Amino acid sequence: MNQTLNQEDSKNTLRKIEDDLIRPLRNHKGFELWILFLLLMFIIGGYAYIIQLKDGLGVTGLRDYVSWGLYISNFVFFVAASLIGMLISSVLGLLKIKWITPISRIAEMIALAFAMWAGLVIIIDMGRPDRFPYVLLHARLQSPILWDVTVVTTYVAISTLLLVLPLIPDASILKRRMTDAPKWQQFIYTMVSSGWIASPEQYAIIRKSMRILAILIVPVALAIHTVTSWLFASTLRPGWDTTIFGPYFVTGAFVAGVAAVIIGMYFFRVNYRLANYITDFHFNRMGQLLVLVSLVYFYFNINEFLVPAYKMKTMDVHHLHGLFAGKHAVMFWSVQLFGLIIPLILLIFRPFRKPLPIMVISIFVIIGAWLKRYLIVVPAQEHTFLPIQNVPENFMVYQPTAVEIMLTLLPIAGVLLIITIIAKLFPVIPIWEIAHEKGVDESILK
Amino acid sequence: MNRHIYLIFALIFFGCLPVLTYSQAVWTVSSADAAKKNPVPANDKSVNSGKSLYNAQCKSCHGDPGKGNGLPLVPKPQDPTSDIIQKNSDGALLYKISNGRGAMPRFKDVIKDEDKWNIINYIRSLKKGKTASSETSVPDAIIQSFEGKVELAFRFVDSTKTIIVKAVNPKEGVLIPVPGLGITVFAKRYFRDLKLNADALITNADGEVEVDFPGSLPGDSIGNVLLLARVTEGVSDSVAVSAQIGWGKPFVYINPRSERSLWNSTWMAPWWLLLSYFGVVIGVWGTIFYIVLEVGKLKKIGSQQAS
Repeated sequence: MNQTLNQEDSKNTLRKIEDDLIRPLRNHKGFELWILFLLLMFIIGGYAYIIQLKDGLGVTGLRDYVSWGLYISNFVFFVAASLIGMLISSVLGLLKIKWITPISRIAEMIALAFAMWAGLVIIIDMGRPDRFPYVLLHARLQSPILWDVTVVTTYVAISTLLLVLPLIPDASILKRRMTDAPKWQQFIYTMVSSGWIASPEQYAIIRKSMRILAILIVPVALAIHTVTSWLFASTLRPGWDTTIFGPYFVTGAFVAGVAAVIIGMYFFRVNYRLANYITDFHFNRMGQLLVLVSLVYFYFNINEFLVPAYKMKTMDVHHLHGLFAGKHAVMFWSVQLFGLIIPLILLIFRPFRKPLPIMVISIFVIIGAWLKRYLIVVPAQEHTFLPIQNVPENFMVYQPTAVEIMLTLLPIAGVLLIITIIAKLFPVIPIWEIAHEKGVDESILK
Repeated sequence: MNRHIYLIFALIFFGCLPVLTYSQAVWTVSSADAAKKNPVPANDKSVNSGKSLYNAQCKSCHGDPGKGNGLPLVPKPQDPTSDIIQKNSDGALLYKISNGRGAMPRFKDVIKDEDKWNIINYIRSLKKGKTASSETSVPDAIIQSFEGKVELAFRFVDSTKTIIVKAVNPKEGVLIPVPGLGITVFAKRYFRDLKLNADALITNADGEVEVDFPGSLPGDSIGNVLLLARVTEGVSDSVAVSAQIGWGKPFVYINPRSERSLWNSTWMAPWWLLLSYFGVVIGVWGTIFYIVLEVGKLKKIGSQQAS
């Protein structure tokens, strides 16, 4: 596979790859309908946001005691899902694992889309979004919130570069092939290709830069979710006051991210007809990866719940009882069973790692991951150290309102929209890297 | 339902039984206890201390001395000026304060013996028609209104750290001491001034009261304390005097915000935090800009080789 082909074979192989991967960019069947659907979600969410801007956060279920609700759960989930870019293209890439080539761009797109919207979800949670600049203007270096803002911004920047750098040679190919595309689209290709002529110096720069970024993103990605966990763990609340929150969040993020990538892989394999590139072998490997990260996450779950439950400290009792047998028990056990344990057991068996079964299992995993964030954020706030007295009924229990649920559609549609647009402008699989693997002469990759 | 009512009545009756029994019994004190002599001299200091203790521990049931406004309990807590109390010997009073009876609590372990004697001295000082003895110069009561002019003056005894406040009435160039005025000494502080004596002290025949300076009282950076004496009973509040004395513990205030800490403002954050934050941010963003510059080189190479 890696031997160099002669000039003639190179041209033919490249032609075949280009045809396969560029075809979906021209085929718009069902595309308008999908965009329309996303826009509808956008409009519903936007309408809810206008209500919230007009009437304030009172339209949400957030009150004095539970002041972090669905929005912060969404934020933690979005940050979690974005971590996958680091695992796939950086950790596995640095380990020189070959099978990630066709799915690395899918992982990067998911990472960038979720990371960008994570920042915006936080603004949705602000009653006065016009005061967002104050986070920086009146910054407190001692506050984990400032660290979080810093690290999310940094992660978005690095993820953008990690997505754009491998696009440069592809954009050059697209400039040559997509001559019938609209002017603005050709302009984008020209801009992104940055004068690519496939010279050895240019290859050296691209490869070196990607290697530096791949190393740099590991600590930044670990930091983004560790700092997010510190927003909780740096308090004294039962359920949050734990030292394993950093790794607990990071491993949980890998589970959510791998599931997201598997769903993306399945979607592009079917809709973009890429079964020859994203093969059963890739699903099998991703399934094994999901088993691995789920096992690690399962291990952290045991630590997170078994150790406090063994000790049952006075304040932990209310929290743990609420999760194990109280008002959150149904959600808690559903998430643990259907979102973690059953998927974990099923995926050990090879037939479940076929594309369709694993995609269905991944949907369960990702819904479980999202609800898990809700279970981390909300129940811990229902048990305060000081007695709750003389407050209205709705201060004591948190229930997301219609506005919050509608507004949750906005970032979800936003993530899907970003992925859709990138996947419509550029091939979801890097042409030049696949061609290189097939032994195509590098100098004609332009 | 009826049966319940009987039950309640029965409970109330039996509940009151011990009290009723007590009210009829004579409160006997053994002759040895009754014969105990008061070892604490009945001077100003003891009586004033006894007054504070009485107000804190006894007044809630026994009421204001002489007014007979004690609580309507059975048996009734007697007024300390009444004969029922006054005819007790000092030793009998000590026994009764110490052991209590019925609703009257045991003060054996609550109040020190010396303080119990102070209370007894105070109770004795309230005795109707009592004339000033040779050992005490406490007047019978606070004078209700003093017509003349009153001036206050501080005098300090360094050896014992005692504050003496003297009340005088300047009349035709002569300063006549004013007895029977209630005087309170304060130390100046933020918000309400600190009382050095809980209840007003009553000036003796020399027009003087004595207050001990509390050894633990903090002063300013060199130990200066601003004292304030005010007539709080007898004449209007406006008669006051103040003076500064260097008896306080020197106290140097260190503003917690003058040190680097997590709770301080951003630029007063600990060095390790500033260095790690800016170190990491500059390191990471420096690398990002380096990559962006490298990508810029791509274009240069492309245009050079094309030409």
